[in-house]
Amino acid sequence: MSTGRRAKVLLDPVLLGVGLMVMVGLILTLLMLFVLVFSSLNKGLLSEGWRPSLVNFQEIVGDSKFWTVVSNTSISGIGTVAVMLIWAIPFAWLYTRTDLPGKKILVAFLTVKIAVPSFLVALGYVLLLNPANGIANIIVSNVFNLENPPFNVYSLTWIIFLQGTALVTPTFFMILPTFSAIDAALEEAAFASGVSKWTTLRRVVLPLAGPVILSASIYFFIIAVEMFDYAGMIGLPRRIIVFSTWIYQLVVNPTMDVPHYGEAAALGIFGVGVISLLTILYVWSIRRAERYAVVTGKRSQQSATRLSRTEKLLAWIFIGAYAAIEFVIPVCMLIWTSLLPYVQPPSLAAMKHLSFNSYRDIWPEVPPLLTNTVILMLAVPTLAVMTSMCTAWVITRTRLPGRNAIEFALMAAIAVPAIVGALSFLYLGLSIYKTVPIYTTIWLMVIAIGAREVTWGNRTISGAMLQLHREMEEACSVSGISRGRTFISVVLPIVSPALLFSWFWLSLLTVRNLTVPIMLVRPNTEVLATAIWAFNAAGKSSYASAVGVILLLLVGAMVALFQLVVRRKHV
Amino acid sequence: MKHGKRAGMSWLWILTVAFGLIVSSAQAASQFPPAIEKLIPQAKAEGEVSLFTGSVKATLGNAERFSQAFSKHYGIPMKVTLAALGSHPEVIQRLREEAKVGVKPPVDVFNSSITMLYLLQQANLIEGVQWKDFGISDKDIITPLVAVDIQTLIRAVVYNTNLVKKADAPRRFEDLLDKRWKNKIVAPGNAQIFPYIALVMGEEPAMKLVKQLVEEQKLAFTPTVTDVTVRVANGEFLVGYGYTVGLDKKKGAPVENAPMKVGAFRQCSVLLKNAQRPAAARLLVHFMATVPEGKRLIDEILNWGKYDTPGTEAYELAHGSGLIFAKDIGDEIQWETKENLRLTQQLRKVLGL
Repeated sequence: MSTGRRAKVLLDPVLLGVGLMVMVGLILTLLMLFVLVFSSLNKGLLSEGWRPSLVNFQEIVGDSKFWTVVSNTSISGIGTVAVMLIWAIPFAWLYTRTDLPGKKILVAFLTVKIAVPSFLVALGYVLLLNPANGIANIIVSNVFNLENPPFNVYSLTWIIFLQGTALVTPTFFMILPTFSAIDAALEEAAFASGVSKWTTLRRVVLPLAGPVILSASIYFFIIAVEMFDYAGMIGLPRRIIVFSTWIYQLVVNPTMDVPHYGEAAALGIFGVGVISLLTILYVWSIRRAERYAVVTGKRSQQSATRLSRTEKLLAWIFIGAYAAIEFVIPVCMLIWTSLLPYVQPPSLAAMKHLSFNSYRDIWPEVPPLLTNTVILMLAVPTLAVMTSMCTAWVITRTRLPGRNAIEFALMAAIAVPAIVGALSFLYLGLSIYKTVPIYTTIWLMVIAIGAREVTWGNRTISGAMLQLHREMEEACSVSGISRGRTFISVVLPIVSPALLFSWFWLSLLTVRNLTVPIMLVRPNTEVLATAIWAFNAAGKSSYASAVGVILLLLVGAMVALFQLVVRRKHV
Repeated sequence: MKHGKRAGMSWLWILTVAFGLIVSSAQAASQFPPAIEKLIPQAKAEGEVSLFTGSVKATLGNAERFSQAFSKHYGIPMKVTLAALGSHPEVIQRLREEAKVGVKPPVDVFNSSITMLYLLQQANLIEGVQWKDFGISDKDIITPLVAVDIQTLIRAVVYNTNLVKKADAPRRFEDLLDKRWKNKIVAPGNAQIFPYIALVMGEEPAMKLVKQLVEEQKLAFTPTVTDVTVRVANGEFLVGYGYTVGLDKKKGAPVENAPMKVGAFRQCSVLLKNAQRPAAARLLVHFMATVPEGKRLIDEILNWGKYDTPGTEAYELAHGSGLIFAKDIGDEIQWETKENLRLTQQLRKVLGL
C-alpha cells in the first residue's frame, strides 16, 4: 500500500472501524486455531505446561477404529451434504425465483422447526422406525403381512438422511440472499429467447449461485461431521462410530480420567487438513467470481418465474413431504413427550397419562432461563454480523494482501471441534480474569459463541457481496466518494437482506447452541438449551420437551417479528 | 372482675407458650452437635449454598422444597441451589483451571465418585473438614478423601415389565447370554459402566461375558446412562444394564430392576476449597448425610438413595438380591482409582468404544 493510500485509510473512520472488527474476528478465530494446534501437539493440558509430543496423534491413528471412523465419517459427511442440497436448492429457488403461492409458510416452518431439540427428533424416528417396536414397522408389517420389519433406523443411511434434512434450514438461509440477489433480467432474457424455466434454472440460476452452493457444501460438510445427536442416538446403539461420537467419548465419557482434549484436538487437526483442501477448491472458485457478479447498478425489478398449476402442486407436495419429515413428526413428538410422565410410543393406553404437569413443574425455571437466552440471542448475532460484514467486505471487495489468509483462517476455524473451541474461550476467560472478570458472566459465552458464528456470517455475507459488480464501487470512486462511505452507503444497503437474514439466522443458531454453553455454564448463566440438555441427561424427557415447546413458542414469536420487520422494510 | 380474670388467664397462656417455646428451642438446639451449633449463625450470614448435581437437573420448585426443609431444620433462612453443570470429568477439569487463577468455585459442595474425587484431591481442591465432629458416622466418612458417603450408585440390570414376565427376568449376569435377549439388550456407550460386573463375577468371567454380550448378543449402546431405562421403558429394548429404574418407575413406566446381585459404588460429597459459603456447605453435607428429611429429599428429587436408608431403591436392592461394593472385595480406594481404570481401558477395546 502506498503512503498516500495508507494515510487515506487512517483518516477514514469507517475503514478504521472495519479494520478493528476484522482484527477482532481474526483474533477470536486464531485463538481457537492456536489452542487446537498446540493442544494436539502437547502431552497433557496446555495449562499444565508445554510438553511437545505426537502422542495424541499416535493414540488416534493407532486406535483400531480409526479407519472405520474415517470411512463412516466421510460417507456420512458427503451423504449429508447431498441430502441437504436436494432439499435446500429447490426451496431457495421456489422461494426467491417463482410465483409459488403461500411461500412464506415455507420460511415460517423452516425457522420454527429449529426449536425442536435434535435428540427428540432422533428419538421420534427411533420410536417410529426401530425394528423391535417401531410404529411404522408394526403398521407396514401388518398391512403387507411381512415377516421381518421393513425399516431399521440403526443404519448409516438413516443418520445421513436425518442429518441432511436437519441441515436444510441453515443451508437455505445461507444460500437465500444469493438466490434473492440474482438479477431477474438474466432469467427474463432466457425466457424471451424461448429457453424453458428448467433449463434457465440449470444453466443460469444454479451456475450463478455456484460459489455460495459450493461454500455452503464445504461449510456444512464440516458441520455434518461434528453433529452428535443423530450419530449418538441412532449410530451408537449399533456401534456405527463417527468423528462426533468419538469426540464425545474422548471428552464427555473419558476413560476414568480428565477429558482427553489433546486427542480431540488431534482429531480436529484432521478436520482442518480436509478443510484446507476444500478451501483451496473454494478460493479457486471465487477467483472467477467476476463471472458471478449479478447485481449491477442497472439491476432490474425482480420478476418471478411463473409455475403452472401442476408445478405448483408438485412443489407443495415436495414441501409437504419435507414438512412432515422434519417438522410435523418432530413437533408432534415434542408435544407428545411433554405431556407424558415418561417416553412411550403413541397409543390409546398412553393417552390416559396425558397431563400438563411438566409445564407446571418447569414454569418457575422459565424467567431466568429466558432472560439469559434472550441476552445471547441479541448479543451473539450482533457481534457476529458486525464482524463478518467487515471480514466479508475485506475478502470480497478489496485487494488487500493477505485477504485469502483471512478467508482461510475463518474457514479453518469451523473444523475446530466445538468442544476445543469452547475450551479456547475458557482459557481466554481465565487468563484475563484478574483484569477483565467476564469469566463468571454470560458475556464470555457471548464472545465464544459469536466467534464460532463469524464463519457462518462471513460465508453468507460474502456470498451476497460477491454478487455486487465492481462498476458500482468504481462509479463511487470516480465521483470522489471515499471507500468507507461507499461501504456504508452503497455496499451495506444492497447486502442488507443478507445482513438481516444472517442476524436472524445466527440468533436462531445461538438459541440451539449447546456445546459452548455447556462448557462455560455457571449456576447464574443457564440458558434454555442447557436446561433441555440437563433435563434429558437426568432422564426427565417430559421436562426437556416442555422446555422445548417453550423454545418453539419463542422461536415462533421471533419468526413472526422477523416477518413483520421484513414486510416493513420491504426487504 | 371478670375482665381481670380474663386478663390473668391471658398472661398465664402467654407465659405457658413462651416457656414452651424456650424449652422446645432449647431442645432443638441441643439436637445438634456443638460443631453444628457453631456453624448455624455463620451459615445464616451466608444465606445460600450450592450443590453440584452432575447432569441431574432438578426443577426450581424442587430446589425450593429442599431450601424450605433445610431452613426449617436449622431454623435459619437458606437458599439451596442444585447446580447441574455437566459431566463430572469436564467440571472437574474446569475447577482445576479456575483454581489456578483464583476464581471461586461455582458450587460449594461437590458430589461424585471416589474415582473423580481422587482427581479433585490430587489438584488440592478438597477442603479439610473433621466430619466426625458434625455427628457423621465413621462408616460414612472416606478419610483419605475427606468425603462423606451420600449416595449409592447401582449398576443394575433392568427389564420391561410389559414385555418380560417377572419369572423370565435375568437372575444372574450369565442369564444375559440367553438367546432370547439377542439384539434386545442395551447399555450406555461408556466403558466405565462395565467394571462393576467384575465386582460380582470376578475379572476374567466379567471380561468373557462382556465379549459375548458384544459379539453374540449384539449389545446396543445409548449416549447417556439414563437413556438405558428410557429405552427399555418405551419397549425398544427388553433388558438394559447400567442404571436403575427408580426415576422412571416412580413415574409409572413399565420397568423393574432384575432380581440379581449387581455392583454398586459410593458417591460422596466434599467441601470444595475456597468455597464461597463454607459454613452453609458443611450444614448441607450434614443435612444430606444424617437428617432423615434431607436423605428423603435427595432420594426423591435427585434419585440419590443410599443402601442403608430405608425406603430408597438402593436399600431395597441391598436388602433384596444384594449389592457388591469394592470394599466388599478389598481396598475400596485402590479398586476405584486403579483397578477400575485398568479394567475400563481393557473393556473399552472389548466394547469397541
